Amino acid sequence: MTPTTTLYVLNLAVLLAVALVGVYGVLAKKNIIKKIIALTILGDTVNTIAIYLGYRVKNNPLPPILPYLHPTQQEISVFASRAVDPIPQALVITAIVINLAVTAFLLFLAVKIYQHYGTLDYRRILEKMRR
Amino acid sequence: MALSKALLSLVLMLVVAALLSTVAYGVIGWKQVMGSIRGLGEFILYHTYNIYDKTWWAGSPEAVTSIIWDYRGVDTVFETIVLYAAITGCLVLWSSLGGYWRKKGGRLTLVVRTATKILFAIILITSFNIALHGYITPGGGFAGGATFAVAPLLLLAAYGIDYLRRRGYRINRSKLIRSVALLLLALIVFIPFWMNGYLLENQAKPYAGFPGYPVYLGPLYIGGSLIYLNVFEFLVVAMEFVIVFIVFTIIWVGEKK
Amino acid sequence: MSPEIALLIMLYLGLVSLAATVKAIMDRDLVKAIAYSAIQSIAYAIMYALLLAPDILIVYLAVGAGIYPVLMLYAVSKTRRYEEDGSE
Repeated sequence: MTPTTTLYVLNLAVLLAVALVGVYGVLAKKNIIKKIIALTILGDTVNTIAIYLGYRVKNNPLPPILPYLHPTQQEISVFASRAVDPIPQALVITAIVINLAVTAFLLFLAVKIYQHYGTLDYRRILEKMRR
Repeated sequence: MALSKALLSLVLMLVVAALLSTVAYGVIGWKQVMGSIRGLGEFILYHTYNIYDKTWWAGSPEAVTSIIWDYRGVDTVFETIVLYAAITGCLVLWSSLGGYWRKKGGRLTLVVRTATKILFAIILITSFNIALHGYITPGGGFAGGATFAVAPLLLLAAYGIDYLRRRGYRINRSKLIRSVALLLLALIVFIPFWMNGYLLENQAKPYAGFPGYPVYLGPLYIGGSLIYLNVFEFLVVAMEFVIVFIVFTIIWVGEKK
Repeated sequence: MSPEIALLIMLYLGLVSLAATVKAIMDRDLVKAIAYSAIQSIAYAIMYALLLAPDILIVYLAVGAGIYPVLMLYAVSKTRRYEEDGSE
């Protein structure tokens, strides 16, 4: 395993660790807003892993934007062979938008729950629902 | 004891994560293919602004925006509709509440207010720039809208909602602009369809009657349908954030404050 | 900037975001938790810059460090600031 590969895997490990902490936060925490915070962290981490998989580990990679308006044929092929993968980036923008839509709606629901039950601790909400 | 337990769980988690990633790394198998990316990625990078082979080009040097609005355009249209539905859901939840806006007060100190006066214009210009240049430089409809969202936030925080209402701002205006912009976006999606091309077709494609949106307007470079879609999405997203922040400032009856 | 250096800096940013995430989830004061999640968002934004994803950098700065904290602070201002422990 070359040093670059181990570095690559180590980065992936740290990102997966953050995702695991996010999953723990969503499952184990009792406060609803804390769960939402953990959910956004989990969502962002998965997005980062997606982009990380599209990275090109080669000397001086390029961002996926062609810097010329009148490129020559040779410039285009060099760009295609050295630029980073644009597909995960396009997918992640969509993912960020939908995460935002879901989180905004969840926060509104959390406030509505608080107005109705007077608490955000979901164990106490369950008790009140059973009564 | 608690610290060692926390450290232990942290180390355990890092070990699990390391295991997972080596397995994932092995399974997905870039062991030897570190320096290259997926074939489809290279295809799009090669064809997005390839003026010599225009069969699959998207008329925009910005590969990410051309994927968002051309190669995977339908996905982004539905994503905008999801955001539209989420904000509508928030509105329905909130309007059934019978809240009221705080009449006076809610104004911050003079320092914040003067800072807001300066920042408001700068944020507007930046968000317009990000949205309108979405097909050349990084950014696009949603990025511009999200950047625009900070401006009304500053205004609400510094001057309070009452200031806007006295200026004659009604929340229905934002709702109107938002819906009209989404309709116009749908119009741009359907124009190629009516001219017997594909839905959301940007440039001329084989077997399609639609000649494709103009990429060059004389010397000016306008990126096909990307610029219209970016502008309309910018309006939708910007107005939606204005609505979300204003609706959140409503104080519902019986709030403890 | 050779990729090894970029990966090294990313490793540091990953550890920073790991620490910020653990603090955000463990902290009982929700406002502090939101602050830690904003720090974590900034660490990710720099990581996106290193991963040569300028589009995501702009979107994520506006959303992750801009809109999420504000929405959550609004939600916390309308509910309780501190996490209730089970005893109450």
